[in-house]
Amino acid sequence: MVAPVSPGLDARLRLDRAGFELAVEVDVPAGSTLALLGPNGAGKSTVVEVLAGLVALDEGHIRLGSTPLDDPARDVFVPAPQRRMGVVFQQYLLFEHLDVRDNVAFGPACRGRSRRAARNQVEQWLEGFELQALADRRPSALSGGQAQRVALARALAAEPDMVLLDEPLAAVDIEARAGLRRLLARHLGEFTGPRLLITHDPVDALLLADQVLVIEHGRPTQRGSPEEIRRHPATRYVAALAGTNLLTGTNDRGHVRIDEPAITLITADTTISGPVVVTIEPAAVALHATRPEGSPRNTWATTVAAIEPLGDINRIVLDQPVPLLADITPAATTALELAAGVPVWVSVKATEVDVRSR
Amino acid sequence: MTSPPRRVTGRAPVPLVVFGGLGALLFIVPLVGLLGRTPWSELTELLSSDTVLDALRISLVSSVAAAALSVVFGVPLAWLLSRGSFPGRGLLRAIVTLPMVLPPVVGGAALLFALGRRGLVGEPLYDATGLVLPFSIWGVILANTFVAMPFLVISVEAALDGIDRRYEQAASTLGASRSHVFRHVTIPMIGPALRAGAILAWARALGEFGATVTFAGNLQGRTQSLPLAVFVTLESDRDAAVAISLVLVVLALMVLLVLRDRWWSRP
Repeated sequence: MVAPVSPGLDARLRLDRAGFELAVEVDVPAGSTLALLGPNGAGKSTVVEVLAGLVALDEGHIRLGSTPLDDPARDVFVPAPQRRMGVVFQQYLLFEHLDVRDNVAFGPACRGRSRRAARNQVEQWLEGFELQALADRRPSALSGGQAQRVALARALAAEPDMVLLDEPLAAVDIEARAGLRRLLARHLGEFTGPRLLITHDPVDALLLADQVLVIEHGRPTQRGSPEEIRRHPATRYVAALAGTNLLTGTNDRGHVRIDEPAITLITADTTISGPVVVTIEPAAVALHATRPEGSPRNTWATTVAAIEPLGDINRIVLDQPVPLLADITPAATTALELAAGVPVWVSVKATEVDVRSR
Repeated sequence: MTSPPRRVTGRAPVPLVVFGGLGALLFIVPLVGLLGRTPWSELTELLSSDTVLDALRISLVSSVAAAALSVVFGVPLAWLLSRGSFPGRGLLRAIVTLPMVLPPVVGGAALLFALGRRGLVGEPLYDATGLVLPFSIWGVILANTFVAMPFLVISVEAALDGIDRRYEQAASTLGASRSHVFRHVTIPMIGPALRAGAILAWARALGEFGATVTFAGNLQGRTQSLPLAVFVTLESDRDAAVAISLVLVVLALMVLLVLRDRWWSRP
């Protein structure tokens, strides 16, 4: 079966509210996930509201394929019920008076499905999200992770043309996050329309998004692949937010075999085994002119690929064998005589190699 | 094993106990007086008289009808007051809640001027349909609804103001039209307040006297409800009056028991 070609999102958002101005372009091709990254108050939730049709634009346009959804200049406004935007809200917003099954069935019932077709479809969604055992529960009897699975199933069961995920993992406890992220990756991968993921967690952006758009104070500051954003942050905020070194690998009693490149890092954390996300803060990466002595367990020689000045610190981009970012002071940069192509020794303490299940 | 928690609240301040106790007596003494005066041996006979049975029928029919009308018209009215944006909304809210403050006799008189046979609306209504509202069961129902509906409206309006509207927004993103959202999300969310408001409206209608007697009169078998029967028999047959009062006390207690879990008990 050939899936129908889904249209992409083309949005130019302009909104003026008391003390807040949103001016951002959001383009998401079909079958692609854009992560919208930004601090609190950046206007991320406002983007969800205007795309979902809960708030009207002042200027600009929202088009899904060739269908205009909002265009003040041409007096077009498609209200929320007719937009087919599948929204997953941060606080789930499940209907407490309905059980899990009826929450998932809410969308199909609104779309005027026959009762029988709707019921079969709902059972399939419950199965896909491993919710059959919870089908008769009320939302208040669910854990955060379970509730978010229901919210996702409910949004997708309404057969949306696009999905909007507002901080889908933020309210979920750490233990449930990795499993939910895997589930999210799988279902987002199967969804043929455009996907917009709102997050403040660079790990989510790396593992779930094809492109990242950073907004601050209602305006875009950078757009690129997660890798580009991390390696060449345009602002200090992006550097702090997305600048964490992220690697994926497998932990075996403190020895993390990195997937790419094939090296092994030592971590102090021996409690987590199996597939992990490794994070190393750039400030925790030490650089030396000669081979370091003493306790650091992770040490290797490399060369400087580039230097990104970020105000009071320099971000040193390192290449082979491990792509890493290191933040050091301009004084240290001068002392080590660093420049592109200069050989340097890297060391990272085992306690600074942070691992989390993925 | 756990031991019972130790008391840490200490003794209540003396003035609070004294005044609170006196306040409680105000409600306990009349109830005891009524029970003490009740002719228990003749109760069955007294309560099976035509006067009492007619009044009971009229009270039940008119109070239930008034509660139903309050829901049918009061919920949309509460929605308009809570969500509507039109000029004079504050004034409309004041007018709707006026019967809660107004002496019911004044309300009954106002109804008579408007809907009586020679009234502003009553006269054309009579000319067109021959329907006369005063001195009929319809008049009793109308007077009851007039005094009862404000209780439902303020209860439901407060609930509508208090619910998290993002649930309604979530429903609309799932494809629900505004009326679908209202029926399947808003109404269930305000369910407890709606039930409480309906029962409160019913209780107010059951106890209604002033507006009914002014607008619908006091005709046994047609418009004489239980409170009117109490007032009339108090002059002629004191035992009957006490017996009917007891019926009203029992009905009122039943309402309180139904509402107990939702209202009167604390979490």
